[in-house]
Amino acid sequence: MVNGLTDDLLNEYLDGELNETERQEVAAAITRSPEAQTRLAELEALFAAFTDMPDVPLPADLTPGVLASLTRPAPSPHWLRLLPLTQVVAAALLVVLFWGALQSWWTYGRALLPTPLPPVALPDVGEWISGWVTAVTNLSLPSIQFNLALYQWAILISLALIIWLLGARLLFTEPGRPSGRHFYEK
Amino acid sequence: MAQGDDPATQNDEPALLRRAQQGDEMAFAELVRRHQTAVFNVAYRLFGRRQDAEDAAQEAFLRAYQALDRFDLSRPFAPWIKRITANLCLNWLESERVRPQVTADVSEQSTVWNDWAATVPTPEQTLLHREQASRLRNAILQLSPTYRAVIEYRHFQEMSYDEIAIVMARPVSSVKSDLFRARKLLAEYMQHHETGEK
Repeated sequence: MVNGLTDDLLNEYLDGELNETERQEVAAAITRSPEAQTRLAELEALFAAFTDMPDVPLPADLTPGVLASLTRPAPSPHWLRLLPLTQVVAAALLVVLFWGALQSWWTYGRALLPTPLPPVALPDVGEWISGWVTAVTNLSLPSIQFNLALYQWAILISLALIIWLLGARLLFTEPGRPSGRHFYEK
Repeated sequence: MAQGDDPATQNDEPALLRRAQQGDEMAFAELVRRHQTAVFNVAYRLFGRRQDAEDAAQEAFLRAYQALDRFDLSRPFAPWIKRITANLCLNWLESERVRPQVTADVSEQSTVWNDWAATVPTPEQTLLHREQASRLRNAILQLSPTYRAVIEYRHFQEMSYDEIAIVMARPVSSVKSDLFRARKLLAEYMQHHETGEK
């Protein structure tokens, strides 16, 4: 600190980051302090050195190298941009079509809601769990059969696919664009 | 003044940028030609090594091209590409992808002194300025990556404390503290080497 003037204040004064009142107060304080004037002169010399530093000439034209490595994907075709929307619509349709089947799965095989497809008879979840508990208790593997129809497998695979797409951040992300944003592009 | 900063060449820049956004590589090549010296110098001030600076400049242009869709055409290109370059260099320095360099590898004899020709009357003064520029370049290279970056942003890219804080994702108080400390170190280095040479 130089007579009440901190080094920070002198820096902010030179950077033009003080408001008008502060600027006038600091300017007045500087005129009263030879030490502050010396420090200010040092900083001004440094600032001038920055301003005076010339550019180094470019050793070689960078354009050919940059052009050769441009990797930006071409703009996606319109239909491809609609892919995530299509996925969502397809998933919604699946849920609507097989709502009854899904309900019946959760309620041990009984159809609760009308559905265009026959109700599904999936393994009883309660029995399934108790089978495993028994197996672990008795140190033997339970005998569980998966008697699923083809369309039931399709439902399970579709759900798994949707979950996977969500998990991989492929759903709701524009194709060809990274999902993260780099701070250097701010 | 770098070509990219010349107002005469900036008139058609929005059109070039628009074409580049639409995938016109030749338009982007023209932008590279205009701004490559300024971009190279950002990297050179932070690295001090010509080869590293060339690599960083090239990488910065690539990243700019990939992010071009998000560039606001109403804003000038030069500050944006220089900021990308400085951030990239800072990342490389912090991740130690670039080896530390404490002296610049280009002699000040070969720097661009055209601007000086009109303002510096005597050969002695020219020599003095060259020595000062060389000292300052080397002094910056003595600083930590963070200090180098704040000096670059403030003095060469003319950003405010708030803008630097946003770009570096740090509090304004830290930016100010780093900037003032870096200046103090630079002034001491410059004074020490000036005294040492006399």
